[in-house]
Order: sequence, then structure tokens, then C-alpha cells
Amino acid sequence: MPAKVLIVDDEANIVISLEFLMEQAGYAVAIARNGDEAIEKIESFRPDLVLLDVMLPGVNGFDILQRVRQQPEHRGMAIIMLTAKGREVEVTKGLALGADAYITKPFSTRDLLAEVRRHLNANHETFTD
Amino acid sequence: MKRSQISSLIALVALGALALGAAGGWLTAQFAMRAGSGVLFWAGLIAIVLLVAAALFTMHRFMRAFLIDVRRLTEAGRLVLGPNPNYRITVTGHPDLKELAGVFNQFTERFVQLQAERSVIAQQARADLEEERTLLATLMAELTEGVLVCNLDGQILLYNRSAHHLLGVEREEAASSYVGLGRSVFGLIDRNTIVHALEQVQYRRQRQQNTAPPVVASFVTTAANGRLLRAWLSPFSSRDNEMRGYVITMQDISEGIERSRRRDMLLQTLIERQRAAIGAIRAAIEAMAQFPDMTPVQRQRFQQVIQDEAQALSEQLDQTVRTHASDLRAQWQLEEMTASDLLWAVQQRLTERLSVDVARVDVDESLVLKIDSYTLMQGVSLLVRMLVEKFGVTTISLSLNAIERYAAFDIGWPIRAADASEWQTWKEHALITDNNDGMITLREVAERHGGEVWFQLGDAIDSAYFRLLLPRSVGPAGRQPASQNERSAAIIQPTVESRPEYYDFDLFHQPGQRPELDARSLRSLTYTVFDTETTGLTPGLDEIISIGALRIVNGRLLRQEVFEQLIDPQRPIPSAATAIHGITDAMVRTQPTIDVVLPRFHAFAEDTVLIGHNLAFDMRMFQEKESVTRVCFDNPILDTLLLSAVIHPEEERHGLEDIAARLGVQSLGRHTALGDAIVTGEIFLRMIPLLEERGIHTLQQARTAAEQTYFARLKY
Repeated sequence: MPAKVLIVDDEANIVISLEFLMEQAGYAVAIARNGDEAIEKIESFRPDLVLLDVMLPGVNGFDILQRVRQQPEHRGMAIIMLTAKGREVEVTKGLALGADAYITKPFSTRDLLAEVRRHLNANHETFTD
Repeated sequence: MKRSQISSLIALVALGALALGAAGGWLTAQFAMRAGSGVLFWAGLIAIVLLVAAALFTMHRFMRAFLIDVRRLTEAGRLVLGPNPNYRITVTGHPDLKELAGVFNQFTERFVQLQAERSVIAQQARADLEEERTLLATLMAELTEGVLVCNLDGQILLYNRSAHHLLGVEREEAASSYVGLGRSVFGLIDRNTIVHALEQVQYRRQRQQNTAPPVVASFVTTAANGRLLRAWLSPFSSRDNEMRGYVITMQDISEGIERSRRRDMLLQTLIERQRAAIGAIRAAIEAMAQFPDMTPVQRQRFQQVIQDEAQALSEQLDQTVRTHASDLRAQWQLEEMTASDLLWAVQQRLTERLSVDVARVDVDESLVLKIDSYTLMQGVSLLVRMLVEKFGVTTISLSLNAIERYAAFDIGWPIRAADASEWQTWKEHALITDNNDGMITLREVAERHGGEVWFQLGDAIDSAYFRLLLPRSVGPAGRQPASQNERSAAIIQPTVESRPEYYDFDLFHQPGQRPELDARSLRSLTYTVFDTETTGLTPGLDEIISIGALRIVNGRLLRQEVFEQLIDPQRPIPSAATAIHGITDAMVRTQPTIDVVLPRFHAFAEDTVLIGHNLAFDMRMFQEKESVTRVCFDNPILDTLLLSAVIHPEEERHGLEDIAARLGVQSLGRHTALGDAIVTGEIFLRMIPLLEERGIHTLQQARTAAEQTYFARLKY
């Protein structure tokens, strides 16, 4: 069974690439386009990893991160913040709230995939490339 | 001499009558006694009594006629000596008195003539001083920094327009402090900050020699109106090096801080948006690169992504530059200037300093620029000097026209076509900035204005020119007192036309306003003269619809520091009232109500003595409103109606117009609150010397005298 990745971003153009890349890497992909949808998908889709944007319509990325980290049933879920908010304070905030990685846009897709792989391997032993 | 003649005449007549009566009576009595006739005796006695009565009556009439005329002459003398030298008396009584009045009027004529001559001399003598003062006032008015000059008590002796703007009340905030002569600076700027700065200055002065440069303490403070100010305080001293007061210069840095905050935010959003867009583009490109064998449909999608994002990115950039241009550019102190003014000034300077022929080729008269004219002048001068000194150029042409959102300033000179390439090489040299020589090149001028500069050859290659793009002024030409036009409820509106009464150095000699007003002389007090217009004359039923006030400081009526406000009475204004003051329902509909206005007027009148005509009525109206306004006017008051009765007890009429006519005050704009307040103020100022003649010098004495007049017993 492939690992599951949830992409949370409201900008369709970045979602197109992310979805394509994750599918090519062999993951099962779901997409959420706003905060509420993200919360709902986290429950229904139960992803192993979330690529989470900060600026979202409705509940913002930081809030979602905080919420997930407070729920013991999602303990194994990896969360990578993927955002245009690149100020140092924001990176610090994301990591302090419990993000596994904080990647600012624009990013190298290679680095992103490596990061995704690293976190999924750590948490998901059944993963096969 | 006349007077003694009159007296002796009266005495003579009276004595004659008495002697006649006595003699007649005596003869009759003698005759009666001899004849033993009782009837005759009684008749004689009655005759004596009648004669004596007739004598007394005549004497009384004479006395009254003379005395009243004499008293009127005395009053006339006082008036002429005091407030109204043009007063002439007409006497209807005795011919001798008429003659006296005639002589009196002749004297008055000569007196007026002498006074006029003297005042001409005085005026001439004062002209120089006045000119300097005007220069100072103008200078101060034009400064962009706010300037306050205060004495050691913190009283404002001078302020300029910028200070008024920086420290004044913006809109309808209730009772705040006002900027005004004689008012305390501590109501505007925190007392502790000023005291601290003063201590610093004192300390440094003690350590320094006299030859040292003047001491300045700087501080940042929040003014009472919330603006953030950077201020510099420097003391000034009398000749014996005693500190007499201090100058505070200030700049509003809240605007600067606000601007850098906006710039910060702009940068932030710009970066975030670009990160997102470039992120999408990069991901798409990399995906295409990594998977070259993707389907054409997939490839098409990625290409579309790249195209869309790239386009959005460029649009964003354009928009940002357009809308935030002013935030992005460093702000120099740029001023508005019309194109023709600028060109004229440049032309003047070049002709005078460099003796070149300057031809104005072309100027767009409607063009207004936003420039730092000093820098510009320096830059243009440097260029032309180079042209004159190095190349022997003798003719310069100038033109100034609009190009898009800019103004193009062309400085041209004739060349020979053969030299064109030489000029091309030289042009770079002309723009090089050498920081050591302190010269300002056109390139620097361009940079400071957020503009551009370049060299160009004329079409026929018989001329060359530098073209300087300068920012145009947006909005209407000239100075924009925008904030003033906006405020329908503006309070203090300095009249710009007349010379500003923004300073009063005589306040140096005046102690603080606070202690013991009662014992202070009438001349030294600060007053608020005011008048109200109402819907009618019944306190409790009628409402105030207008208040006009101004202040008297150091014996001057300050026409610049004016309080003028219409008030919505929240009831209709009777047409009878409108007929008097011209204020209609429509005029007051959008105005603030009394609960807003009265606290503001209270603040305006703080620490002053209130002056008004028939003040009891106005005070009663204010009192009626105490529960809504929560302000109580406990200022000392003086009523010009009562004071008039003190000065001219023999007059029956003490209306504002009657007094104005008596004291030679022209009453213009009557029946507006402010107009009446001005007349009242002028009247009061002329009353002071008349009161002093009666031994009334202090506030206490004036109040006591006023209270004793008949009119004071009429109460509202």
C-alpha cells in the first residue's frame, strides 16, 4: 500500500505540479484547497504526510498544524510547511509549533521530494520506492 | 475765569433778589407796623418768602444748567484724552459755556492734529522694527519645522504655522489644549520631557564657556494630540547670560515612521506573492525536466501554469510600482512650484551669476512641479558654469513641459555639428559626482527627485541639451490647506492674509497667568472675549446656536486665535431670530451639538478672564447646559455693559452699538457671534484707560465697581 500524501494549498498552479510529482513518486495523493477541507481530509484520508501552506482561506496553516499536533491519534503524521511566508520569525514559529520541515517557496522539487521521502521513511516502514 | 464769572453772576442775581426781597419786606413790615395793618404784614411776609423762593429757584436752574454742561465738558475731555480723540461736544446752554465748548473743541482739534503728527513720526520710527518683525514672522511661517518660543513659565511667546499644525487639534476631539500666545506649552508637550531637556541644557551650559556653540537638547515625545515628534530644545539668554526662555523646534516623525512601516509591509507582501508565483513556476519547470516523457496533455498544463504565473508576476510588479511609488522613493523635502516660477528663478540666477544670455524657449504655464528648488538650482548652475567656463558657451535656452506623469526640464545650448561626438564624450563627465567638492550634479538632482537625466542632441545637430525629468505635483496647484477646507467644524483658523500675530515677546515681562488673578492689573491679564447667538432670549427654553470668541493677550486682540462654531440646537430656529443673526436651520443641521462644543470652548477659554456684553445672559445659558456638557465656567468675568455704566454713569444707553460709537470703535460684521466678540474686545481695550482714570486698576476693583452699578441688579 503506497504512502498517503495530502496537499493543502489554495493556489491551483502549485497544486498541479505537487500532485504530479507526488503521483510520479508513487504516493497516493489527496488535495485540500482551504483550511476546513484540510481538517476534514486529515480525518477521512488519514495521510502519512501533509504538505501544508500557511496562507489559506478559512483556518490558516499554523492553526491546522497546532490542531494536529494536539491530537494523539495523528502522532505519526509528518507535516511539511510549504509556504511563501519566508521570514525567519515565521520559520521559527512553524518549527516551534511542531512542523517536521519548513520549506519556503520557491523550492527545488528535488529537495522537496527528498524531504518527503525522508519523513515518510522514518515513519512508514512499508514504503517502497 | 469764565467759571468764576458765571458763579459771580449767579451770586449777584441771587443776592440781588434776596436784597430786593428783604428790603421790600422790611419796608412793608415798617409800613404795616406803623399803620397797624395785619393784612399788609402778612402780605409783606408772603412777598419775602416768594422772592426768596424765586431767587433760590433761579439759582438752582442756573446751577443745574451750568453744572450739567460742565460735567459733560469734563466727560468729553476724558473721552478725547482717552479712547476717542474725535469726540466733539455741543453745548446748548449759556452762551459763555457755548464759547467754552467752542474753545474746547478747538483745543481738541489741535490735540488731534498734534497726535497725528506725533504718530507719523512714531510710525516712521517703528517701520524698521515692524519690517524686521514681519520678516521674522514670514520666515517662521514658511518653516516646515514647528517652532515654539517659550518663557521659563512655559508660556508660548511665539509659534509658527507648522507648530500650530503639529500640535493643534485635528477634528472634533473634545476639550484638548490649544496652541496660542500666552498659553502653556505643557498642555501640548509633556511637562517632564521639557523639564528634563531643560535640565540637560542647564547642566551643559554650566560646564561650557560662553564661546561654545549653543546648547541643544533633543528628545522624542508624543504630543497631546498623539503625534510622535522629534524635538530640539535650545535656551536663549539675556545679556547677563541669564536664561530667559527656550526655543523648541519639532518635526513630525509619526509620518516618517508610518511611511517606513508601509514600505516594510509592501516589501513583505511583495516577497510573499513572488515566492508563491516563482514556486509554482519552478515546480512546473522542474517537473517537466524530470519527466521528459510526460504526455502532451500534462506538458500543456505545466506550460499554462508557467505562462499564467509569469504574467501575474509582471502585472504585480507594475501595479506595485504604480501605486506605491511614493512609499518606495526616499522622501526629500519637496515643495510645490509652478513651472514658470521655477524657470524665472533659474533664468534670474543664471543671468546674474554667470552672465549668460538665457532664452526661455517654452514653458507650460499650467504645470506645477514638486521639487527641491535649492538642489535643482545648484545642479543647473553647476552645469551652466561648466559650459561657460570650459566651452565658452554664452547662450542657454530653457524649456519646461509636461511629459506623461513628469515634467521635462531642458537646458540647451548651441553646438557645431562637427563637435557632436566630443559632446557625447563630455556628457558623462558632466554628470559625474565628486563627493569631495560638494557640488551637486544633475544626476544627483534627478536621484533626489526620483527623476531621470540624459543628454540629447537637437534634431538639426545645432544644439545639445540635458533633459531632466522631474516629478509633477498631483492635485490642485499651489499650497493646499486641505485639512482646513475639509473641516466644517474647524475651530482655530488662522487668517493667512493679514500679518500673523503669532508672537508676543512682551510676555517675557509677564508673570504666569495663574496666581491671584484678582490682584493683577487689567492690562496684564489674558482674556477671552466672546458672544453667542441664540434661538431666543429665554434661558432654559432657548438654545445657543453660535459661539464666537477670541483672546486678548497683553493688551492685543488676537484675531488669529479665533473660536467660531455653529451649533445644532436640535430645535427649529424661529424666523424672528434668523432675521437678527441670519443663522438658518439648514446652516446648523450638520454642526456639532452643545455637549461637544461647550467643552471645547471651555478649553479655549481656560485660565482666562471672560469678557462679554451683557454676559449674565450668556453665563445663564451656559449654566442651563451644565448637566449635558459637564463643564462649569468658573472663570472670572467682566461685563462691558456694566463697565460702561461705571465709566459713563450719566449716559442712559449702554448697548454695544452705543458704546462703540462713544468710544470710536467701528462695528463691522455685527450680529455674528465673532463679529460682536471683536467689537466687544475693542471696546474693552478702550475702556481700560478710562477705568484707570477712575482708580480702577485691578480685576478685583473692576468687578467690584461693575457690581455696584444699577445694571448689575438686573438678573437673569
